[in-house]
Amino acid sequence: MENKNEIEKILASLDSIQKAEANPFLYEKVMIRLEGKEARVVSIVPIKIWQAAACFAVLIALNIFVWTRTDSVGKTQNENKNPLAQEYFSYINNTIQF
Amino acid sequence: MKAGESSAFKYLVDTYKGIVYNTALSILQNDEDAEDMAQEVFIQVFHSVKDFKGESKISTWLYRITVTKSLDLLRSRKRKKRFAFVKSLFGENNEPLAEQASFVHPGVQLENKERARILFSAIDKLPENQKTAFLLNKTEGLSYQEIAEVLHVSVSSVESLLFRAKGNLQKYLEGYYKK
Repeated sequence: MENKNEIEKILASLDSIQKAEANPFLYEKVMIRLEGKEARVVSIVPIKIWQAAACFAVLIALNIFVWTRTDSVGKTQNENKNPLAQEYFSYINNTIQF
Repeated sequence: MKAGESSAFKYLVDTYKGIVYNTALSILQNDEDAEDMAQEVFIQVFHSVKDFKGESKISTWLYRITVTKSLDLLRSRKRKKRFAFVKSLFGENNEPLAEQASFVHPGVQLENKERARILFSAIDKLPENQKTAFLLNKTEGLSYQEIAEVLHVSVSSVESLLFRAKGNLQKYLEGYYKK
């Protein structure tokens, strides 16, 4: 019975609760955090765009370099192959004549 | 405010900081966490005020954000606690798990402090929706209709939530006195 009364009192203990006082500088704190976040965003975004642009430029340059190089290598290889082929075919023709 | 004027935002923070802070304080049962949460809520409000359609009162919208974010924080803490417990079982982390210190709400009258401490520790064991409905009713003094709007449920659901919350609290408290 005593416990029941006490439980009732516990359940009613919030009936006359007062509001707790929020920090009077909450607005200032929120603004500091907002400015901090915005500053971080501002400093991160251009670097990312910069990095992306740099990567893209390097990729393009590499592509052009590889493309022009394979072209010239292909040409010199073909030039080197021609005398060898001529010699080979003339050898075959000579052996067939025998 | 929707245009992002800082004076309007200051007015909003100064007008509603009390309800945001007090709601977070009741749910999180820690004044530092409640202050952090109040800041988080207003930061979210600053960024998402354009999404506020004005269909409900600003206070209802703020209650909803505060409740959602506070419950999310509690959930993530519980997950971390469970993970730390599992790790401790495998011997990876033998540090004792930090328990929530018993909370005394600063707005409780002196003669009720001990009873309120016991009640808050019992409230902490309630299921989320019962806990929220009970706290909004008892500490914020919201009507059933207002709680229904905050929780997006019907008034009869709120009645049922509060009825079950009181029943569960009674059971917890009976158990507390049987110990």
